[in-house]
This record gives sequence, C-alpha cells and structure tokens, in this order.
Amino acid sequence: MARASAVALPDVSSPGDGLTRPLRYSYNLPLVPRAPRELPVTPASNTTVPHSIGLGLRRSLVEEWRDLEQQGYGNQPRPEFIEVTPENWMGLGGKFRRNLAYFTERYPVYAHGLSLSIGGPTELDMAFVDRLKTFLDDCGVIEFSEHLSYCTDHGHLYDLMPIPFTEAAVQRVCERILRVQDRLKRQIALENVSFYAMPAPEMTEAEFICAVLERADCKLLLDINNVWVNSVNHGYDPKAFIEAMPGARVAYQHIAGHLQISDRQIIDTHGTDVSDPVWDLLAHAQATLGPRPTVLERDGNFPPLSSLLGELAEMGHILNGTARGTPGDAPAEITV
Amino acid sequence: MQSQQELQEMQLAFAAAIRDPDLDTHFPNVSPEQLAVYRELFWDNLKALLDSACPVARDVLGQDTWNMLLGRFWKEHPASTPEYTRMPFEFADWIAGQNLEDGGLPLWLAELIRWEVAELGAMFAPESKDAPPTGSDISATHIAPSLQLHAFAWPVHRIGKNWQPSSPETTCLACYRTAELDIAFMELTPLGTALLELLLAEPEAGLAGATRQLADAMGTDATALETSMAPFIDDLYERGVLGNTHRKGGMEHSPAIDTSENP
Repeated sequence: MARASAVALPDVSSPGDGLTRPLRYSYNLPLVPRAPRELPVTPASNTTVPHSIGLGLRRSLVEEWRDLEQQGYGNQPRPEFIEVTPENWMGLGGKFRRNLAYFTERYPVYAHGLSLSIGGPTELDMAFVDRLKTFLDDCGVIEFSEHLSYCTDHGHLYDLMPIPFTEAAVQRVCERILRVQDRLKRQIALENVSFYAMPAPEMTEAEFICAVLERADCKLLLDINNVWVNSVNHGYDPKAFIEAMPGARVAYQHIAGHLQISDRQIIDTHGTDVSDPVWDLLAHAQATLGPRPTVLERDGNFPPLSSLLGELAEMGHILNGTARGTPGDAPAEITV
Repeated sequence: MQSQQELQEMQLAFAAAIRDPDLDTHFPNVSPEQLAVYRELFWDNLKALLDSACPVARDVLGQDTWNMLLGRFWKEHPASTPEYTRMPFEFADWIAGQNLEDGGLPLWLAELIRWEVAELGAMFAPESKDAPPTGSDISATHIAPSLQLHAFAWPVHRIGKNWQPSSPETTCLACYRTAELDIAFMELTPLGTALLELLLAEPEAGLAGATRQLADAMGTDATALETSMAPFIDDLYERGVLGNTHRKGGMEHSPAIDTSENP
C-alpha cells in the first residue's frame, strides 16, 4: 500500500513568486555519540587557523556529497569543515541520523543554531539549551553560533526578527547570552543578521553589535553577505562596518548569495551564487581582520555540488591571499 | 531611552504584526513596505513547510481554503517546538482541536492531516534506546519505535483530489521505517490494531500477554485467537515492526536499531 503522495521535504520554495526565499531550515539529522574534538584556540597572531573553507550541511546536498566523499573530489577542493544546524538534526533517527553521523565522523563540525531566540521578549528555554548542549557535545562541535536576533513571541515563528538597537536591548541580550554561555560551558558566537526594518533605534547596528560582544564577552560570527545586504538596504558603508568590528572576537564568517530586488533592496535568500560585492567584502574582511574560517551557506535553489565547490575554491583563494579566478586549486592551510 | 517594558512590548507587537497581516500596527522608523517584507518571508517559510508536509490536504482543499487555514493557525497558535521540522505535528494537533463543521471544513480533514504527518513521525523517530530483548526473556516483544499506528473513523489513505469519502468507515493504518530506512505503509484490521495497541501500552507483557488480554476482552479463547492471528504476527516480524532475538528475522533486520553507522 502506498500513499498518494510521499512527503516532499522542503528545501526550496517555488521560484519566481515575489520575495519567496528558500527555507533556512531543512530536514536533515541526529547524532551518534562521540568524543568531543580537541577545541581549537580562537585565531590569534602566529597561530594556524585549523579550518578555512567550510560548507553548510543540507539535506539536499547529502546524497551528492556522500558520492563525492567516496569517489574523490578530483581537482576541486574538499571542504575542510562542515556547519550543521542543530535544530534540523537533534533527536531524529533513521536516514537523518545516518547522514549526520556520516559527515560528523569525517569532518570537524561547527554548529549554527536557529531557535534560541537570544533577543526574545519571553523567557529563555533553558531545557532547550540543555538539549543543545547534549547535541554540541555529542557531535564534538568546535564553534557554536546563533543569531543576534529573536524568533519567538509566546511561541516560535521560525525566522529572524530584528532586535531594536537600544540600550535596553543590549542589557537584556547580554544577560541572556551570559546565562546561555554559563549553561553551555562555552563562549558562543553571535551572527550579525540581515534586517529589513529597525523600530526606534537609539544607536547604529555596528554600535549595538560591539556593545553586545563586549559586555557579554562573546564572539562574533561575521556574516559578510548580511553586511552587504544591510549596507544596501539601510544605506551604510559596508567596509567601514567591517572595520568597526572587534577583530579579535571574530570566530568565523559566513558568505552566501542573496536576491537583488532593486538597487536599494536585497533579500537575504541563500539561494543564489555569491555575488561579486560579497567576494570583494570577504577580501576586505581578510585584509582588515585577517583570515577566518568561512562557511558557504546555501539553503535553496541548489546547483550541482561542483558549483558550490567552485565557490569554495574562490573563497580559499581570497582567504589565502592568492589570485582570484583560478579555480581548481585547493587552498593550502592558512597562517595568520 | 527605551525601558525594558517598552522593549518587550515593542518586540511582542512586532511579532503580532507579522502573524496577523490585518493588524494595522505602526512602529517608529518602520514603513508598511518594510513590515510587509517580514510578513511575506515568515508566511513563505510556514507555508513551504506545511505545504510539503500535507500535500494531499492542500490539494483537496484548494489553495484558498488551505491558505485560510494556515493563516488561522499562524495567527492563533504559538508553536512550542524549537525544531521547525516538528511543527507539522503541532499543526495536526491544532486542527484536531478545531470545530471542522462550524468552519465549513470536511469532517475527515483532521484525520487526513494526522495521517499525512504520521509519515514524518516515522521518518523522524529516534532509534530505540533500549536493547532488544535477549537471552531467556522470550516473552518480551520489541516494537519498532518508528511505528505510527492510527485507528481512523475515515478512510483517509484513499482521499485525493478526485475522491473524498461521504460517510465514515473505520480505517486502521500504520507506517514505519524499513531496514533500508525508507517509509512503508500498512492497512490493518481493527483486531490487529487492537493487539498492537495493547502491546504498545504494555510491552513487558509481550505478545502472549497482549493476545490473552485481547481474548479476554472479546470473550474468546486465547489459543484460537493466537492461531487466527499468526499470519498477521508473522507478517509484522517479517516487516521488522516486531522483533525479538528468538524469531527468525528478528531485530538484527529491524529498522528499530540502526547499527549501520555505529562504531
């Protein structure tokens, strides 16, 4: 007996309908207990950056990626680490668990959470934080990051709302970050998010982020694409923004593609190739802050994996300070 | 300067404005167009998930009714799971609590959606933490943790765009993960369903215990019942829905314990 229609799990929304954007979440999943990996030191002068080019693990990429692991990467670079979304893998069995285990056994793992709602208006879900800790420990996660935003009211909305850039919000967010770091027994990294509205700000985005990082003593996940998206949507200088970030706190970086609606509006889709301005900004971040491990995020409208590996090669050239536009050479380990 | 209370109120109002596009809320420094971007992004995110989790319900209801239903859910239901992929279960629970008749919706809708998300339940179910019964414990029977067992009032598995039931018809359905980790479906008799429900409620009593209980409830002889159900039970073992170490094709072939990736 079969169902009329099997569940087709979403990665991509149908193209071409307005702002429709691929899902930030995908059905991936869970965990095989294993020994935590040795924790690397936050990049600093004269230390080796352990991982430079990373790729976000997605359900839609798993099958093709497994094939490449078995057949070899040819002249394309193998990702040096993966980034997983805990909420897409926690507590699941079956193929999800099998696929996650396959990749966590083969790669250093970074984790990028979605549902913590660190800036949320209601109580932190500490039971969820405890489950997160189990996941991070079981997968040997090296860096755990979340979004400097909120995604809840009295329930989950599963997407990112902007925290008002106010002193009250800095205080509230910092208090919550400290509680989470205390419970997770690790420093976390917060990502500068793309935002499309900012109710009643008292300070700039850069001031808000710097205040939070400093007062909560946490790290930054610098999302280069979001810097570009916000700089266009809100009319600021993206290079000056990056220069204003505290370099020593940058744990790692994201790059991704976006959807250009007009010359003054961009939607952060993660559904296209990385654009030239974002590559240029990555190079600027590399020159300003030094090289950092960087993850390519792709959440929909998936091209063949070889296309993403081509972008990883490009990323490697930039992080390595070598010439761009000569795809095919895997980057060497980078030293700062 | 903003107070903590003002911050909280503004954040809740912002979320409420995203949930309900009819709310005419204004925020300082935010244009209606900017708010509309959020409404559209969040709505698309919700819709992509529930469209894919419930393709039959969406098809049968048609886009307008389906969207109206999702809109009400989005506005009224504060989802409690941090895991987005589990949200369809909350949708199924929510719709089960709605008065379908008053809403002009088909009476079988809640059961159809429950059956559609059961497939996700079978896909997501974690492997059992308990070891399958071993040694002398031959009475214990292991049930695949992925088993989703449902007794419905309507034949939901036959519902599609071209056919909907006009009267109820007791329908017992199950789905589970196979040894290959794919999802398989079964239609069961009410008797078989009752036996599995007893087994799920009291696994330590084992198959023999469940059969005795069922025979008592029916006022029949346990041995006769066991004989008549033997083909069904054998089929369940064959499929790996049931398992123990003393049956051919026991748990080593069961989807319940995934040993393929464990070191």
